[in-house]
Amino acid sequence: MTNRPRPTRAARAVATSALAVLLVGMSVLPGASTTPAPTPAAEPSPVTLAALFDDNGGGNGDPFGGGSFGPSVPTGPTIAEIRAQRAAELAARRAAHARAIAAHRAALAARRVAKAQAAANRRAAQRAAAAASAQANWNRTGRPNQLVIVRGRHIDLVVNGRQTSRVVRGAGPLTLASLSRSLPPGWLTLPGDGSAQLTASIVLTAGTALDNGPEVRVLNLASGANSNTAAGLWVGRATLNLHGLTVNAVDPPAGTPAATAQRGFLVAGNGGTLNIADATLTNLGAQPPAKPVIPAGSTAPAPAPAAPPNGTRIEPGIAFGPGSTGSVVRSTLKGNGVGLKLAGSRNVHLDTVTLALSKSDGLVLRGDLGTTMTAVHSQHNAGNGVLVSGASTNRPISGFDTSGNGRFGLAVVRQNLPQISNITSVDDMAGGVRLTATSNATVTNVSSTDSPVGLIANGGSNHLKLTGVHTKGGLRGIVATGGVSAVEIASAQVSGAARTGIAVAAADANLHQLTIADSTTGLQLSGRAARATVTDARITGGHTGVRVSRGATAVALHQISTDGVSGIGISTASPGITITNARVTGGTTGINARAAATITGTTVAGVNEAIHSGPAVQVTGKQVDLLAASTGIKVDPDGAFLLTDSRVRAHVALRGQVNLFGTNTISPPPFNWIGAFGVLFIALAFLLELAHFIRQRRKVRVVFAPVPRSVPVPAMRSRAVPVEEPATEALPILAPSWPAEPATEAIPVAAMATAAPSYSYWSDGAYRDPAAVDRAAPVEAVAVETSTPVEASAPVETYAPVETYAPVETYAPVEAAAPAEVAPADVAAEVASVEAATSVEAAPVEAEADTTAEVAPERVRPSPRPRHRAWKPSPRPRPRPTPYPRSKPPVAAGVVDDPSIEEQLDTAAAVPAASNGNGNGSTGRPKGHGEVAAEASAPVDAPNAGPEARDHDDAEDIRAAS
Amino acid sequence: MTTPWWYYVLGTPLGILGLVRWSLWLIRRVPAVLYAPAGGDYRLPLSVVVPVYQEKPGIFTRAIESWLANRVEEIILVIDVTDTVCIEIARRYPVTVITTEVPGKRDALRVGWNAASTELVALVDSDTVWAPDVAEEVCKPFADPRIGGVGTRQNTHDRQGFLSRINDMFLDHRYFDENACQTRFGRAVSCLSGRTAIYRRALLMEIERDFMNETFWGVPCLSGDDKRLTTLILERGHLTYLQRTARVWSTFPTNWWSFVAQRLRWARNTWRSDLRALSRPWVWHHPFLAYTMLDKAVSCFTLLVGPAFLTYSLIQRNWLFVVVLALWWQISRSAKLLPHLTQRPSSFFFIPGYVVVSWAMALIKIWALLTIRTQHWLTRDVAVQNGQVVRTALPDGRSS
Repeated sequence: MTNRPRPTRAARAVATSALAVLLVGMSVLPGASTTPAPTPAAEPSPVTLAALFDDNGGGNGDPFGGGSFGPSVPTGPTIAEIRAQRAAELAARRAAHARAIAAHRAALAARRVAKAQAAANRRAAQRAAAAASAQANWNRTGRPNQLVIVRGRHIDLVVNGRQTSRVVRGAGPLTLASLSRSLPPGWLTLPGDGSAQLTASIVLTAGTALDNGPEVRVLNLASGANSNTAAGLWVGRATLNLHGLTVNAVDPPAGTPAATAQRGFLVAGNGGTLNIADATLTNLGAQPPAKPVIPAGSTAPAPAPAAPPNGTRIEPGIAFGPGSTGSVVRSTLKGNGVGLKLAGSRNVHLDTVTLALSKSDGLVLRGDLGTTMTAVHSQHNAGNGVLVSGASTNRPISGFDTSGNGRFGLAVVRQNLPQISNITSVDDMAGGVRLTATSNATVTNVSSTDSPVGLIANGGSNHLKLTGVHTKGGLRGIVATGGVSAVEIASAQVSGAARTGIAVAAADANLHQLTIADSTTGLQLSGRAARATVTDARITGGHTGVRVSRGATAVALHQISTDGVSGIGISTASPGITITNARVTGGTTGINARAAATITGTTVAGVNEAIHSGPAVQVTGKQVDLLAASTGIKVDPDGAFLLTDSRVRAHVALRGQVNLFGTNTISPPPFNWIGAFGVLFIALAFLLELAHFIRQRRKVRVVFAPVPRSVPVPAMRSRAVPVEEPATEALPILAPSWPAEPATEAIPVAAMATAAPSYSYWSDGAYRDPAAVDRAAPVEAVAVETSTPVEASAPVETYAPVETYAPVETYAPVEAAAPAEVAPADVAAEVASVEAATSVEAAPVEAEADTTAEVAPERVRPSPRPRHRAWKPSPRPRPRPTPYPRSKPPVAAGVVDDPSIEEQLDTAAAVPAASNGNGNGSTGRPKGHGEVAAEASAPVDAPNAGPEARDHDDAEDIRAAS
Repeated sequence: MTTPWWYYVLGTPLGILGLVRWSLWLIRRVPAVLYAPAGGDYRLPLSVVVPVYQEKPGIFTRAIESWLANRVEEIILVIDVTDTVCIEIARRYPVTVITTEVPGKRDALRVGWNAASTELVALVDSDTVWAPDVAEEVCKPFADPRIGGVGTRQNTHDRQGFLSRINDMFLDHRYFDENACQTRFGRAVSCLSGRTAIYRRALLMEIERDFMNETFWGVPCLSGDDKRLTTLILERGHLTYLQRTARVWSTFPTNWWSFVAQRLRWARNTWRSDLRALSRPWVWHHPFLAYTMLDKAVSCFTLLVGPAFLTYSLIQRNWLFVVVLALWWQISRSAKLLPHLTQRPSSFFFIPGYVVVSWAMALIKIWALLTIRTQHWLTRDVAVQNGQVVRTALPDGRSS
C-alpha cells in the first residue's frame, strides 16, 4: 500500500480562498483589478441597433416614437453624438473589459503565488514532520548514530538524529539486498558471499515489510558501547521475516566493557510482526543491568534501576513488545542478553526453540497474551530458564524444559491463576520451579532432577495446588516455606533427596498420596506448619521417615507407611499430633514422641525399639501392634504411656511407666524355630564325627565274601589274543564254569606307536563291541570288625600256590634254537603229577582256599635293570591277560608241544606277576634256558581266584620263547 | 517382660534355604560316617601308567621312587617328546619309557594302558606321590568283580601356604563327605580323580574308543579324562569304590591364576559329565549318585544367597547381623569340616578364607556353565582345533 502525501489543511485553505476570490472576481468584475473601478456612468438606456435604424419609431417603445415615416423633427442627440456616445461607450466597455482581464490575470497571478506559497508551506511542514518523525524514531530507537527509516515509498536516512535524505523506493516488500542499494555505503554491506554487515539501525514503519532474502544467509549486526553504535532492527506496524538465517552480533570494539556493551538486537513494537524460522540468533542484546542488592533486613523499597544515559536503550536481544505478534520456529537463540522476551505480546507462537547461554534469563514472559509454546528448551542460561512476571494473563505455562540454568528452571513471580504443566527441569542450579508471591496456581506434572530443590513455594504464595510433582536427587524435593498458606500437594514422588523429601512450613497444608524414597528425612513439617494433614504417604529408605517439629500444631498423620528407614520411623515433637493407621517397619526406633501424641491403629515391626516416649510427656496408644527386637515401649522419666487393647512383643516389652487398659498382650518376640534347627545340625555334626572317629579307631573294614561256585561269575571282556590250541586230549581240562569267550581277533600291536595325530587306533576295523555282561551275580560284602589292628601296610608276600602247582621254573621260556627235548619218562611223570594236581583242583573253590595256608618257597628276584626304549611294536601279537582263567592257555611261540609246560599252564593256579622291578611285569626275565624266573609277590589267595586264575605274564613267555 | 536366655542361644540366622541345605548335607553325612574301606588281602598285578608333560624334576623323582617302593609289576611313563628333562630322569629308574609326539593326556593314557600287561592299571599323574601301601590297598576292592575302578584319598603335597591349606580342606571334605557317601550308598563314586585311579585294564580297553572320541555338543573334549573314564565305567554297569586307606599326595596350584584356571576346567568337566549323565537312564540306576549330582549342580547357586545377604547387610550397615552371620558361618563350616579339623585343628582359623573361596568357586562354576563348550586346558599348552588336539605353544614359549 502506498501512501500518497495528503495536502495539508493550510494548503487546502489557501487554495480554496484563492479560487473563491477568482470566482468572485470573475463574476462581479469582469476586469476587476486592484484599482478601484471607475464609477460607471449612468448607463444609458440600451440603444439597440435596431432602434437606431428604426425610422418608424419602433411602435411602442420606439424610442423615436416612430411608427411612421414622416419627417420628424429630431429632438435628441445627433448621430455623431450618438456615434460618439457609442464609441465612448464601446471604449468604456473595452476599457472595462481590459480592466477585468487585467484583474483576472492579477488574480491568477496572485493565486499562483498563493499556491506556490502553500506548496512551499506544505513542503516545509512535511519536512518538519518528517524531521520530527525521524527524530522521534531516533529517540525511540535509542538514538543510533545511523538510522534507516523504511516507509511506504521512501527511505529516510537519519544521522545523529537529523534526517539527511529521503530516498524514494519502489512499492512492495523489501529485502536486505534491495535495501542496501538505497543506503549509503557502509550502512548495510553485502560482500556477495551471502553475508551482510549492518551498522545502522533499521526501523520498519507501518505497512512496510522486510525480508532477509535469498542473498543473505548471515547477518552480522554491529555492536557498541550503547545503542548509539549498535545496530537494531525495529519493527513497527510492519513485518520482519527472518528465515534460514544466522544473525550474529559482532563483538564491540576493543575496550568496551562487556557488562554494558550493547550488541545488535531485534525488537517488535506495537502492531509489529516478527517471524523467525530456521534461524540462529546469537550474541544479541545487552546484559540486563544488575538489580540493586537490598541489604538483609532492610525494609526500604528496592530502588529502580538507573536509566541508561543520553537516551540510549538497553535492549535484551530479541523482544516482542506490547501489541506485537509473530513466531519463532525451529530456531536457536544463543548467547543473547535475554534469550527471548515477550512483553505484552499477543499470540506469539514458539515451536522447537532452543534458548541457551543467555546472559540473563532464557525466556521472559511478561504480560504476554495467547503465547503458545511447544518443545521449547531453555538451557544453560545465566539466569532463569523461564521467568514469568509482570501482569497476570491466562496463557498456559507449559511446553518447555529447562536444564543447567544458573537459577531456577521456571520462576513464576507475582502471578495469579497461573496454569503450570508438563515442565521438566534438569540440573538447574538453584532449583526446578519457583513460585514466589503467586496465588491460585495449579501445577501439574512437573519433574525436576538433580536440582537443589525440585519445587519451592515462597514469598507468601497461597492457594497452590501441586499435583504430580516428581523430583529426583538434589537436596530437597518439594518445599513450602513459612508464609505460604493453603498448599495442597498430591501424588508427589520424591526420591533421593539428600536432606528432605518434602518440607512444609506452610499453614493449612494438605498432603496426600505421597511417595518418598531414599531421602534422609522423608517428610518434614516444621516452622509454623499449622493444621497440616498428611494422608497416604509411603516413605522408604533414608534415615527418618517423618519428622514433625514443635512449631507445627494440629498435625494429623493418616496411613503413613515407613519402610526400611535406618533411624526413626516417625519423630514428633508436635503437641497434640494424631497418628492413625500408620505402619512402621525397620529402623532403630519406630515412633519417637517428644510431645503428647495419640497413636491409633499403628503397627510397628522390625525395629529395635518400637515406641519411645519422651520425658514429661503423655502418649496414648490404642490398638497398636508392636514387635521389636529390644524394647517395645520405653517411657522416659516423668512420662506416661497409656496403652489400650494393644499387643507388644519384644525382649523387653515395657519399660517405664506404662498404664494398661483394656486387653493387652505382652510377650517376647516370636521364636525362630528355623534358627533352632541350626543348633541341632551343629550338634548332629559333632555326633556324627564322633561316630566316624570311633569307627576309624576300630578299623572297620569291608571284606567281600567269596562268590559261590554255582553262581556264574560275570566275565570281563578283554581283548584276548587267540592262541593255538594244541591237542590236549591227554590233559585233564577242567570244564570252565563261565561262558566261553568268543574268539577275538588279535589287534596288531604295531598300531600303537608314536603315531601322527591323525592316527586312528581303530583303523583296522578290528574292534568289535563286547557282548553284554551278565552282572547279576551278587557278591556279598561283609563288614568285618576286627579287634586287632590289621597290618594293612605290610605287604603280603606270602601266598599259597597250590601244592600241585609246578614250580615257576617250568615257565622258563625255551629258546627256539634249541629244540625242546623232553624225555618221555619225564613227561609221563609230570603228567601223573599234574593229574594228581587236577584231581585236587576239582574240589570246590572253598577247599581251594584251605590250601592257601602253605607258603611257597621264596624265590630270588633278579636285580632290576633299567629299561628304556622307544615304543616299538612287537613282532607278534601279545596275549592280553584276563582277570579270569581262560579256557586255553597261551602258547609261547617257539615252544614245542611240551606236555609238562602245557600241563603247568593248564593246572597252575594264578601266579601273580612279579613286582620285581624289572619293569616288564613279567614273571621273570628270560635269562636263558633253565634260568630261574622271578616269582610274583602278590598273593594268590583271593577269595574268588579259582585254580584257573592265572596272573602270569604271557609276554614273558613269548619273549622267552623268541 | 524379658526374653529367656535360650532365645539368644537358639537364635541362629538359619532360614528356610539353610534348613534345606543342612538337610541335604545330613543325607550325605550319615552314609559318609558309615563308610569303611575295603579289607582283606586281595591282590592283583598292577601297572602304573603315568602321562608326563613338563613335570618338575624334583617332584617327578619323588613320585617315581614312591611308585617303585610299592613294588608294582611295571611302571610305564608316557612322556611327551618335548620333555627331555623328565625323559632323562626316567632313564635312571627301572621303568618303561614311551615317548610320544601326540599332544594330549588322553592319548598318553591310552598308549600307556595298551602297553601295560597286568590286570589292573593305575592311571597316575606325574606329580603324585604314593604311600608305600597304595598298591596293596587299591587292589582290595577289586575282590568284588563288579568293581571297575578304585580311587584313593588325596592330599596336598605342600601343606604350607593359604591356597594349599584351602585345597587340603576341600580335598578332605571331598573324601570324607562326597566320595565316602557315594561309596557307602551304591558304590558309585562320581569321579575317580586322575591323580591316581585304578581300573581293570580290560575295561579300559573296552571303553577306549568312547574315551578317545568323546565330544560335547560337537566339540571334542580335551580335559576331563578322569571324569570320563569313571562315567564310562559306571555306564557299563560297573562300580567304583573309594579306598580311603590308600593315600597319595599331589601338587596343587599355589597362585590364584592357576587355581582359578584349574577350578574352571574342573567345573566345566563336571558340568559336561554330570549333565550328560543325568540325561541318560543309567545314572538313575544309581539314585544316590544322581542325587549327589543334582545337589552339586544346585549348590553353586544356593551358596551365593549367603554372601548376598551379607552384602545387603553391609550396605544397610546392619553390623549386628553381619557379625552374627560371620559367626554362624565360622561355626557351621567348622562343623561340616570336622573330619579335616580333627586332623589339622589349625585349619579352624582358615575357615573364613575357606568360606570366601567357596563363594568364588560358586561363581567360577556358574561361569563354567556359561562357557561349557570351551575346551582349553588353561594350564597346558594344548587345545582342540578342528577336532584335533594340538599344541598351542612349545615349552620354550615358541608358538607351535
